[in-house]
Amino acid sequence: MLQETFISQKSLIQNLTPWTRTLAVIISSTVIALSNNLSVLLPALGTALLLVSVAGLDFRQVGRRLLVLSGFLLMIWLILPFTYQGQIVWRISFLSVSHEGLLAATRLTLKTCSMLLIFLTLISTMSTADLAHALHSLKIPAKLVLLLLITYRYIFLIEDELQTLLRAAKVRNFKPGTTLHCYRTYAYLLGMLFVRAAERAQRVHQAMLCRGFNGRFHSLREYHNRSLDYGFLALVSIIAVLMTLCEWKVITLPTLF
Amino acid sequence: MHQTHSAILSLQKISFHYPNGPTVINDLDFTLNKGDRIGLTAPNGSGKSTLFHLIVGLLKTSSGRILCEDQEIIKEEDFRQLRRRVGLLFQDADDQLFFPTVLEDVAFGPLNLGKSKEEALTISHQVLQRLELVDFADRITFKLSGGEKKLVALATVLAMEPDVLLLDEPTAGLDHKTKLRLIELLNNFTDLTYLIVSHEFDFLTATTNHIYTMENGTILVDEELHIHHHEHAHRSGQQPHRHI
Repeated sequence: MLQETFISQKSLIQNLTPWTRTLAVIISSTVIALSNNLSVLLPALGTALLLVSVAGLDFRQVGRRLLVLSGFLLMIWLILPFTYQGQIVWRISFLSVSHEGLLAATRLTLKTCSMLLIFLTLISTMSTADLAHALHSLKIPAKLVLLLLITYRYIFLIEDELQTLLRAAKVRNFKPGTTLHCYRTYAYLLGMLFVRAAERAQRVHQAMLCRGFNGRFHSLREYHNRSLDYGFLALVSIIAVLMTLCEWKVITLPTLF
Repeated sequence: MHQTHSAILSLQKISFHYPNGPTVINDLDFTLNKGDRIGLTAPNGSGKSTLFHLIVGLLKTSSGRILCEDQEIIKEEDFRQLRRRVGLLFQDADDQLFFPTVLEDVAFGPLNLGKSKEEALTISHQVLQRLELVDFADRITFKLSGGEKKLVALATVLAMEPDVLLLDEPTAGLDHKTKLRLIELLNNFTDLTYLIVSHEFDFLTATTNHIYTMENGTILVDEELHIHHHEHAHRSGQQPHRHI
């Protein structure tokens, strides 16, 4: 089941409006995604870790989420160093590890980890409804916002449907295994889930039409930014500008410290 | 039969069949007058839900005319106008509630009708008050119980301020207490005209003035009283006795 572990966290971060937090995430993740310099990415990860501790998130929970990511990162580390063209630093029989490959894998790891940490602290600490409203007020197209809201609303129902189907299979003594019968059963279950989801989607759309839906999305919530919000945004912007300057080698890290 | 001139809704010889499928609704004539409270009971698959979907234009009739106060409803825009006046309560409340919080869901309709945020909130609060659901405003819709969902779904329909309600098996899956509450609510809506589809005879007798049935895709109007007998069983039944 979908759990929103970090929502109830009380911290400085929770005092910021969803709008501020979403905007801060957009700014910081854009800069991090476009940076390639290690002297930018390392401080970025440091800042992200700092944010996590300011938000007071449970490190074990954060670790568990990073663990999910590590599977993808492992793939990158298994492939990139061996396939990247460049100066060879290490040879194991017919495999060779390139300097550039190692560098690229390091970059990707740093980028993904710091971005995930930033999302965890700023985005996962707000409800999906708040996120949708923030995106709406940031002029993200209404269709996308609605898509997010409705996905969130119905993911629980789809999960319910899946559980129902699995229960139905279980009461008839279905045991997961590696037989063809088993794979076929799973394929049918999945197919049935899609059919039910599609039918549900149609009924929801009909219900929306009945209530005069015309493609526009109205938001009831209003947040008011306070000086804390502007302060936080200013801080994020300053860091982003410094990182950009560093990336462009206008300033170098030693002169910073 | 009813007179046509005061009809809110009038269906004239409407038919409907799915593409390459059997005819579900067949030359159906029906008139709904202001203040009517009509129950419709019929076996599964006899086209009751289809009839509702035809009335609000979610499905298109194959032939026949639908009139709302003597104005023929043809185009999607006409149906759009009609849906303001005719509220449909779906069989599954989960289909109808798509916002995270109850208040947002109830306000969705009024906002779509072009009401301002303040007006929409006022209407929503009024409706929630009327259904005694004020405490529910900030509750999360998908965490409500089945009965609560049904009542909130009713609130979302009432927030459109309709003249006519179409209720599609409103008691399905509800416990006795929630059913009683629904009966009480419906009986308090003195200004509403409604048409209820249900399998529960007791519920229909408690909420409607007329009960019709559907057969072969048409509505059978039978207003005569019928004397009928029940088989029944209880303890000491073999002793001669009377029921009061």
